Amino acid sequence: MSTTNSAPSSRVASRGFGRRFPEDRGASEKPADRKKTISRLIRYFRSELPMVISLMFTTVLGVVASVVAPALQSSAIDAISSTNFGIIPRTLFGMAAAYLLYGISLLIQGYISAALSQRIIRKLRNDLFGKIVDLPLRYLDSHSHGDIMSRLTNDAENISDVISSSLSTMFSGILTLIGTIAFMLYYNVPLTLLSCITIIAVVVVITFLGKYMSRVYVRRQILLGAVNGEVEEKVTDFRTVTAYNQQEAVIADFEKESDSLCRTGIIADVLGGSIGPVMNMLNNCTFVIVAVFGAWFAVRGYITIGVISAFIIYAKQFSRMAMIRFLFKPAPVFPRDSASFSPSAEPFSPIRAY
Amino acid sequence: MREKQSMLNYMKRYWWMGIAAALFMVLEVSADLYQPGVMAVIVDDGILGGTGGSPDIALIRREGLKMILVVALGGISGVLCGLFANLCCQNYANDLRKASFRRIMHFSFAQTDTFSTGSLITRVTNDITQIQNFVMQFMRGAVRCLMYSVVGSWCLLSLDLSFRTVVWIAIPMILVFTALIIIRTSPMFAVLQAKLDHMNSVIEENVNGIRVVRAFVQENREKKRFEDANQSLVDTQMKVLVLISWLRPVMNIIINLAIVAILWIGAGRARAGAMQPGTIMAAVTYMSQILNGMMMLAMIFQTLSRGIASSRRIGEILKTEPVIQDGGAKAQEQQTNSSVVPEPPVAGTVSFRGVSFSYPGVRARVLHDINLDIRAGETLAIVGATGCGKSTLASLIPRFYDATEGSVLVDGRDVRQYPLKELRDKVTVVLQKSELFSTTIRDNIAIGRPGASAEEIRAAAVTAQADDFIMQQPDGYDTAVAEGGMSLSGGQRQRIAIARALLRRSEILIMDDSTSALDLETEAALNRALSAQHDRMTRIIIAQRIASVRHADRIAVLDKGTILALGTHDQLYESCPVYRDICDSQLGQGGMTA
Repeated sequence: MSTTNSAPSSRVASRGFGRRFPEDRGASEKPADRKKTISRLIRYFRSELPMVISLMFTTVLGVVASVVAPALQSSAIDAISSTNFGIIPRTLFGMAAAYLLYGISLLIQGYISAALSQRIIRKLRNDLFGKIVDLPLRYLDSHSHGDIMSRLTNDAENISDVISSSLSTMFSGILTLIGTIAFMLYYNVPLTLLSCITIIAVVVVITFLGKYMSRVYVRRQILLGAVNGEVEEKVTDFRTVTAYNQQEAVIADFEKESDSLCRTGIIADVLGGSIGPVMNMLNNCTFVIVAVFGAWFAVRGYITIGVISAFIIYAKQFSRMAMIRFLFKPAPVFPRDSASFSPSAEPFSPIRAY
Repeated sequence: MREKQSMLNYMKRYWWMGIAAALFMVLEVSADLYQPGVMAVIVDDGILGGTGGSPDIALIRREGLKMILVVALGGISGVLCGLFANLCCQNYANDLRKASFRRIMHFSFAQTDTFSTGSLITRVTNDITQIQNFVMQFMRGAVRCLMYSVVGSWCLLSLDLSFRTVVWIAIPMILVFTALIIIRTSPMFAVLQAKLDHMNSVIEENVNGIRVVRAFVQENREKKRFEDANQSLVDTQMKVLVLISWLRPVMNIIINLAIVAILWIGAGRARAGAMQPGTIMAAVTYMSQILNGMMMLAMIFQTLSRGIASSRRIGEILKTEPVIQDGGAKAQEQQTNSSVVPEPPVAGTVSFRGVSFSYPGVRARVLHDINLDIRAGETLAIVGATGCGKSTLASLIPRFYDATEGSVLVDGRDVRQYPLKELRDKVTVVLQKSELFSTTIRDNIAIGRPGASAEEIRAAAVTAQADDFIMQQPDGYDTAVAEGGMSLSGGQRQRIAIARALLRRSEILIMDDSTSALDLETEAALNRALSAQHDRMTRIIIAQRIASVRHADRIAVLDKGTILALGTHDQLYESCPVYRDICDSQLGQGGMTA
């Protein structure tokens, strides 16, 4: 009974049906428009430049501290194994200082990105509300009021959350990646390459699972939209349902939709949920590779034991960053976030259209 | 606590899946915790050669293979854990969703009024998702967190007991700190919700009342109002976020300093010859695994507070029993007998006997001591000012609400003695707001009587004066109705709703202001068609327009919840000043001849 637009990221998908007017949506889903949408959002961030810059500055500090600390730990372990106990107090003091610095930078990062996202939410909402009050009546009449409301509340929040958290995570991710690789290469090139084997495995798994998963996720999103739409319609029109003795028929329909959502949801989340354990397994593989090959190299005298201990931490950081990149780029998580991506920016466009 | 129990009841079918998920999670985490120990062996006995003093490559290879095996086992357990956890929590959420939807569909009008439609929708959509996330997080996270912190600590201590001071200082510090943050933030979530509701209501008022805002040029005032609501929401949110943002850094600092402390203690033990570097490295890895577990704890608590709020909201639905239910067993019996006993000779009478009504929770009476007999086959109109109780009076007949005092009889029998389905098949209401579903026009009409033939549907539409415009739609009767019927005009929606009602061929038809958007000509045609096609049907017409009711057999004038006068148009125009005022204001002095 529903004709659904299967554009993966559209709001249409998340609502299911009831959107059949050409002027309704769709236009904002074109890549060109999305680019426009994103550039509009970037404008909001540009006006908060001082905050963005201080966020980046503290992030750099934190990354430096987090990359230096394992190196210090490595020399501490080496000092222990070579029974050179004299330099230990100094090394451990340096470690403590680096970790403190890291903690403090995390705290400041958290504060700034909270402030940043709240300021942007506030502005975004005020602007959107202003637009809505001034919009042509035709726009308001042709859009469901619930939809307009959810743009102002949820979507505005999601956008700003996604952007402000991804801003600092991406930035610190890239920096950590560079710092980590630099230190690893400095210590030992072959062991670095060996640890990268699992990273390649990660990429393979992601591209393999990702493609299939994005399809399942989109389908789940459509079904969720259908179920939510059904709830919205039948609860709103509850009086008609009651007056015409339609309760049982409506319930039966709903249960059917709800069940198929449940089935698809299980498939989607079992797949999506298996990413965690698989990544964990690959992490552990890196651990084994570092432990075994590191031991072999150590026996040959290529590296010290301390380097193994540093590699364990670096390899973990490395694969975590690779995973974060995955979270922001391809499929599985993306549709959910981007479902609220374009619509909220859309109220800007009618202004031009009229 | 009763609601908790009823929520847990739905878990009964799936608890074993939850247990399986937890067991696989234990296996997965065990695999993680197994490795640092093996690494200690590799470093201490393999590289450094243990007591022998010479490196042992064979041991390194052997232990490495063992580790790979354990890692693979851990990965498989992780995937299986996800499988069972999802089976458990999604099925559970699905059952809850279906149960609450079913319950809502059986609510009385008064009950949906108290919950409010918007709130019911959020509960079935949003809150169910929250519960699902919460159960999921709890099942996977709680086990993982517990394993990492408790078993991780145990592994750490089993390496060397001298690490115990670090564990005993660091873990309580983290727990106390997390508890402090949770205690401070949890009351703020309620405030946050209230602020969000306030902002929503400002938006809603403006979106729905935009015409009024424009007409009175209130745009700037409304923008200011919204900005204030928005500001105060953002301020509260900021407070919560700032508090929460302390969590991760402080935990990080505590655990990392604990790692430094472990290195310090380890160095001391190594100096004394009681410990080797591999053991220290393992201890450091265990400490960071404990950190992982503790961080998860904080996250679990965050979803916990949300999950509990949501399950309370679903619990409220599930524990609310529908107040309007089928008449007692006696009524059921009568009904089965009635198929044997011949139908009473006159079907379609309605009587009000001393009926008073007030909405639940409201003192003021909407209806006061109403006595009225409506004859079979009669057309009775009810007129009166807005809010005088016309719609309320009509909605007592199909038991959308129950009378507070007195009784309503249909065919001589108290409405409360009917099974609801039978009563509502006898009495059809065309509601004030024509609610169309997003299916085809045909299906929208067929809701009246599922299984009706195409000819019957068409006939009903013809009588309702809807056939002409339906045939002009792109796909005729198979044209899809957009959400809320927005593609149709108000008058078209009303006529589809009337067709739907006529299809039922009930004894009694109530039209609650349901021709308001029709022009007079169409309305007159509709009335003629109704009289011709359904002459034996009792009709109760509620209307604002005198033109809609003047040809009724009798007209009741309702004023402040009582019947002021009852009679034909001409009688009332002579005898009832209130009625004459309404007529004159609408039709003008000379309008009577029209």
